[in-house]
Amino acid sequence: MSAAAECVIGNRSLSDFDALIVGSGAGGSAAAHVLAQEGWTVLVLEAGNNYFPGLDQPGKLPWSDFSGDEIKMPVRGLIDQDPALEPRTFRNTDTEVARAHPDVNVLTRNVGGAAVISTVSYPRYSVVDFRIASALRAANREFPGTSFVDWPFTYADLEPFYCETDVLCGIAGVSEGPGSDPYASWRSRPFPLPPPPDMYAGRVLANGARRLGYTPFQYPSAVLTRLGVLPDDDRAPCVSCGMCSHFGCPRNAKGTPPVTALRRALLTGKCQLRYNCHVARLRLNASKTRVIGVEYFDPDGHLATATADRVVLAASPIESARLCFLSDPDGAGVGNSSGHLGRHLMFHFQPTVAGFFRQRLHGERGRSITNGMSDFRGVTEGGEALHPERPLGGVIEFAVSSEPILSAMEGLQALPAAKLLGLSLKDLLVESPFQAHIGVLAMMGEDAPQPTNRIDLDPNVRDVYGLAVPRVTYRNHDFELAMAAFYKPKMLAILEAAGAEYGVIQPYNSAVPSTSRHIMGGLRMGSDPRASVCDPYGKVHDVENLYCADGAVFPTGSGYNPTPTIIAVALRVAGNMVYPGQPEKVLRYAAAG
Amino acid sequence: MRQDESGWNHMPLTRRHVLQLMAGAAAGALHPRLLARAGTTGAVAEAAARGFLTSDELVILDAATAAILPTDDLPGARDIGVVDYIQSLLTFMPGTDANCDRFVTAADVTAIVTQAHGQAPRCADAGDVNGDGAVDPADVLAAEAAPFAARPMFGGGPFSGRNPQPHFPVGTTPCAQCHGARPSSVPTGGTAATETVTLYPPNAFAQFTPLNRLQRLSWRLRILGADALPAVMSNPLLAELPEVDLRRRYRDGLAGLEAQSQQHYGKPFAALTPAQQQVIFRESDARFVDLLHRHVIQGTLCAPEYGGNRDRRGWQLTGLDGDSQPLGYEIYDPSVPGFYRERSDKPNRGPNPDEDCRGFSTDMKRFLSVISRGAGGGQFANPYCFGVDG
Repeated sequence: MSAAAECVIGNRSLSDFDALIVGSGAGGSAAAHVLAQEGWTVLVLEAGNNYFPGLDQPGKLPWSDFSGDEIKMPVRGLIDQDPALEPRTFRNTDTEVARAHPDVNVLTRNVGGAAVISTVSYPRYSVVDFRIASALRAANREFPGTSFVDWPFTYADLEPFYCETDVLCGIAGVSEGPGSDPYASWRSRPFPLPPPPDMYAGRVLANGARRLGYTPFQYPSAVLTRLGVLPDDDRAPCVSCGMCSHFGCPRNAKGTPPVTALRRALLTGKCQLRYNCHVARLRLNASKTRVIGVEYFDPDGHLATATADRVVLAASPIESARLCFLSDPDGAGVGNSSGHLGRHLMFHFQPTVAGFFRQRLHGERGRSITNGMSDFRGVTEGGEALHPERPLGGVIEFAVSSEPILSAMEGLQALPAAKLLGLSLKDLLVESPFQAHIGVLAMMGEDAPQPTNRIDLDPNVRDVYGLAVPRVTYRNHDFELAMAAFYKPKMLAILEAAGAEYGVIQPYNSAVPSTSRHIMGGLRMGSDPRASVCDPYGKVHDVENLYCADGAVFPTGSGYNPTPTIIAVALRVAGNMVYPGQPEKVLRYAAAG
Repeated sequence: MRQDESGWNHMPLTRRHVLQLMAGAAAGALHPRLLARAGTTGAVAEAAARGFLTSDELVILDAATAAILPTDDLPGARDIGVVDYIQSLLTFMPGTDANCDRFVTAADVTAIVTQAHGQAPRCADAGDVNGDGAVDPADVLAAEAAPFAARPMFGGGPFSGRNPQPHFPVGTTPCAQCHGARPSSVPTGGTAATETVTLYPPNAFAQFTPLNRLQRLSWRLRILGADALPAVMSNPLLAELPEVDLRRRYRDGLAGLEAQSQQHYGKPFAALTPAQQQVIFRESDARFVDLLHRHVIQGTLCAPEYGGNRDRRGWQLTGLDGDSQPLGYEIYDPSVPGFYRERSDKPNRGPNPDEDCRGFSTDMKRFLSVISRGAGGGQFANPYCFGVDG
């Protein structure tokens, strides 16, 4: 049986599309939601497989095909991009030959994208993030080689879309008072859901932070903690099963893109999702001013085409930029008259410390991350300005090891040392220092944009489709390295205050690509077509009907998990497609008044 | 083509059918079950009957995994079934679930036979076990080991059946019509706080998760190596990836252990003392020895549906509970403040009830002290256990 015929959900009878969206992750799903709600016909093409049976059926959402099965997900990598079939290459600078590397910050391939296996930690960016270049300049903080710019809109412009995101995804958090983040910026509406209970490890680390005068908070997360509250009350509540980070949720308690925005789009009858469809290139007119559609490999591996009046890139930054390069026979890249395509690529820089505690912290229970702190973000309370003494860092997640097999396999690196001291693999498994007794502080540190950190095509390596693979050229700036040096000892001190017996600092190795999974930039947006790829509403300057609605448009990266901002920006991009100049007209949950 | 479920079960399969089909096929490899009769007994013979590695190879593997995780007063690799995990991993191929029912049983051999006779497959790649693009007698040969183990390569979802479905108050039962939530697993009502939890969902972990084209290709690559790949690829990374070409790596790696053992000690690997086996590990291919260690860990801590972690001994060894859905560690209960009730046996928010805060053994402390000093940190002066003694 042809797989191509099977891998379609939503309205299968649609054939003329107002918009075609490449990718069903956070950005693509949000855009599909807006456009379909507004009556546009939408085709979503997704490279990965679908694990959400009944996603397009009304009523209660069925359980997913995911499970708390560590072999299936992180170990054998059911939905991981396989570096053997789809490699990427990496180097630090343009003068080196890039080498294929098994993990150049790859995201999963599946309906819903990488947010499906995230802990859905969904804090907002701050007021100052949207005018960060001005703030740094005013403070006489200069970083040669970086390309900080202000965003082409303000926090206030985006705030209604953040509120829409809160309800659409069902974000649980503490809006004010104890348990809230004092460094978070103002919100016009409270979180729609209360946070679920804190897990033990989160409480242990928060206690350490509090002892040193810091202000830990309950991490805003898109987990369903109340039935009967959200407008679309079709999912099951979170039960803190523990297998959260790196796992899809079997009960859809995580408010991930497919079970929220994409599902809403599919239920309108205006949206069709074709999965296992890998887009190979955009098709443009001869003058490259209009995109006509895309060519893609269908589920059987045959090349197919799809057309639409508008095309939205939402394949995640590295793949969206790659697609622009693959689609230009002249090689310069679609939308690259500015020369900025693929540039200003950002990952979050993640200084990480780990403590070994005497007691079992049982990180395999709970949601992997329930607490964090923003004291090292380097901004003032309310996120309005730069902190006068602290460098720009990032939010810190209080994390655990919720993946016993991965932890034990990573522990193999230390086995030779353990053997010298008379310990065996069995001792490591039974006493479980690397899993049961470990508490982790991981910062989502701001990563300075640099024009030299970029995506282009590798001249030598081809993937399973015969397409040139993305080449990532990336080197950390002193901006991040100095920040990390400043904060790491303070992070160790928190472990000590929390009662840890030993503390370690994760080593930094510039030769190894980041595995932050927070990927931003490459199609940076701005008002000046000579200095940006997309306009302030995500439209590619050079192409009249090509848009981008993923993290690629971010001009800077902030120091918070990017996903809710990707969603808010995508809602705004799609809103502006429907109502030019008045994108907020598409707001349903957060409409003014 | 008959699409109804029952139609497939009506197709009779006899040994004669299979032999007739095989008669036309080129002579294949010796059937693993025939090899299994070569003389070994017990667990090794049982595993040999299940797939790729021969009984001779399994004797070496059994000894090697036991050397990595020996049995003492606590269970080791032999008790946990690590060999079974590895044999299952090396044996199964996409397409083995030929009737596309998400299970691998004898009925799949029937389905392959019917497809070889011209019947259309019910799902992509069904029946093409050896991945040569056609369903033919060779696939029967390739699949015939499968019904004896039926291990998934990627287990199904959502639940394993090891944990009960908590009761929900009337009107809040989520997903009464859910996929996988068969009627027997769905509570009919009652109040959450008082009812005894007795409903267990069916085990979906034992199912085969359907794969797309790339996922199948990816799996073939891991088991069979680069020969499984199309020519359009150019990927210098292939040779470096740890889990590619596993059959060859095991065949060569086990032979290497044996050869080194004979050369160094003049004895089979399985006959060496534990200390001698460690010497052979150090003298052998480091990548294979590392792969063995990784697979011992996987086979110890995997869900039991993958063949290892027999009777959950691996989880018990490390103090883990394994998967916890659909119960979880916080029961949603609108009748209590905060709407969540934690379990007294496995608290989420605080230390274990029996936590004594004694911490690590002397040897482990020495080890952690060394590695933490080596990693930019160190030992802290006043450790304590929040919620227990501080």
